Amino acid sequence: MEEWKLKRIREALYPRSVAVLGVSDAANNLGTQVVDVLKLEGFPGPIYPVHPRLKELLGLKVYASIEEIGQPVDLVICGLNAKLTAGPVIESCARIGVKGIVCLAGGFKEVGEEGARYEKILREKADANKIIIFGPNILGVINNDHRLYATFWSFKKGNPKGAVSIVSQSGGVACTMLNDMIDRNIGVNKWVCLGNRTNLEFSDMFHYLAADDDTRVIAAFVEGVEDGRAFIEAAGKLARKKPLVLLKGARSESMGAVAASHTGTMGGTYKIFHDACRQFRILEVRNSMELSVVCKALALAPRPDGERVAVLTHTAGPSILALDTLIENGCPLAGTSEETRRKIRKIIGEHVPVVLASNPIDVTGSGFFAEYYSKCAEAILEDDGVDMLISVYAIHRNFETPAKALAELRQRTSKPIIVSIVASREEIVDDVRIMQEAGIPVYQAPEDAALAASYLAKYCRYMGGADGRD
Amino acid sequence: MDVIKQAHKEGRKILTEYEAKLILGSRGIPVVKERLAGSKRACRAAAVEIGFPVVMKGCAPGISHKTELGLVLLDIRNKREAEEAFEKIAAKMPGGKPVVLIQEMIKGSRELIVGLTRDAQFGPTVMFGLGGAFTEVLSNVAFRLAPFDRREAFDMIGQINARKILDDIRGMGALDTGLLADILVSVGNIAADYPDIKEIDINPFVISAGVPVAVDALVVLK
Repeated sequence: MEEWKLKRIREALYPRSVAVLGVSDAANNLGTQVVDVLKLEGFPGPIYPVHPRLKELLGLKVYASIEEIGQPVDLVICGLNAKLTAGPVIESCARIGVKGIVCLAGGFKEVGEEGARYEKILREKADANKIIIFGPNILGVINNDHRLYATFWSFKKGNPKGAVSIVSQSGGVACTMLNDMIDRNIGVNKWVCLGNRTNLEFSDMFHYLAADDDTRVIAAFVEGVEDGRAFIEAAGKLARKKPLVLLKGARSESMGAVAASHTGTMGGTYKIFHDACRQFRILEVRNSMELSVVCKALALAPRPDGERVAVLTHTAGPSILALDTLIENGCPLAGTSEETRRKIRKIIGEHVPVVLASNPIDVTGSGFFAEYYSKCAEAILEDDGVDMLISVYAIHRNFETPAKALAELRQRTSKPIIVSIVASREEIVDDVRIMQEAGIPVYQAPEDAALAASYLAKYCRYMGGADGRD
Repeated sequence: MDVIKQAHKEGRKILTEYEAKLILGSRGIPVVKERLAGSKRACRAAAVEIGFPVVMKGCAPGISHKTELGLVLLDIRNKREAEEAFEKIAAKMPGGKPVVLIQEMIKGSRELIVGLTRDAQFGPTVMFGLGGAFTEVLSNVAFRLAPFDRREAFDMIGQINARKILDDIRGMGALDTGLLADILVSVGNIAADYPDIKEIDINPFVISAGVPVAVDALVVLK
């Protein structure tokens, strides 16, 4: 990777000022949406709409050309067509020293020969002038760390900044991922659509995010690339530094016969991709919901020192589903010691008619008492045979939830706690906030909590945990 | 490797079974004990040297589907049978001087497959799986991008769902997984060391006394 790109990506994602090209006074105009979203999300620098005749747009002064702005412009967000973008736009940008261009419009290589020609010209001029191009053919770029919403898309306002950054080949999937993360209270940091990948490749973004202090976890969606090997190697390089959660599209389509003579009939390119993810320690997930579940755990929970998971519950069924999911995902179950169970017996009282199993530990009705419940959780976490705890609890309007007690417990232990709450979303807004702020990923479905734990375990194994791979 | 040069000289893209195993053997991959013979007499001597029972196969460039062509004879138990087998095979060999491959008859009920391919997307890739009937039924194969190290090879072996079949079951003895890991690494390294080789297919790779032995192999050149 050329070093200038790394520098330009940073400058473009943290621009001091932005110009928007392709605006008009029509309310449904694409460029106008960009200006609207930038303002709405509170971009911290000047916004310069550019149009040859308009004087004012959404209360902002409009400039007749990029040159007329007369101030430094770090990022240009361009909604103009391929011919203009590859011609006067990139030339003006080069002239005034723009660092990056977000090219929203399509009409480039994805539509045929003429578009491909414009894209080639755009790339050559961008490379010659060291300008980074996001796209073309994308929904945009977001940096929650800088309140930069360089997109015409509309998202729920003010979604919180977090530790997950998203890189997606597809804009639609990028939106699906971001919206799902918003719904699940997962803070997103950078959100970058790659589109046609003119001079910004997956490998460039991976390189950048590996060194980005604000990004703890990377979520990526890839449909297909020209050079699978280069992609996997770049992804693997990132995965050695930070967890990379990857979703691959077009899996079944590419299940063609592998080129390996008569023995390779059941293989396929996707199978190679899948196995290569394992080889290069990339955390592959099967769908966008899993992606959110896994990203939340990796973003919030500490890294476990081992893979063994114990489940605490006061309602049996959900813990069984959690254990099923752990086993199906190849995650080792913890066995709790007799001493731990003696401690728990003492906490809940000798009179409680329950047989305490090694795992899951079902404390039945006593679990409704927050104090008992969290003390049981602490006893399990003190067990040397336990590396992580999945804590399942139900809420009741007449009982205090253990959210606060678990949040406090999280500060006293180095082991991950993953919570599954039997409740509807509206009822647990406070519980989720309190625990997630304390570094406890919270889910509703027990299977989600178990999936999260199994990926924490897998990542521990990938990074050479208990009996790790290196 | 001389056999590759020879194949290029003759304009062949496919090495003979014997040539293929010369390459594999030179890389530390266990191959079945075998000799080439061009006459009844040589055939008999080779069979004695290897030890009965033996397997005899017609061996010439460009012959595939040897079994269907009646060019493979199993369980040859003595010198007389060896001579007869030579004549039978020679009669069916297409043109020229008949050359027969005499092999030790490997006994083993478990088979592996190991392959090397150059994938259009991912470049050199090693495939490992359970062979014989298991391959199709279980779709149980693992891939790794080559080259890779021994630890990765162990992980590849561990990935196979039915790997318990490789343990000491029904008194068959456990597979030497350390040796298998070395073999997988070695096959992966062939990709870089022999740029002319397009693909390798070791099938069947029969487990005999815990050791996988290449009984048949295919090497295709670019």
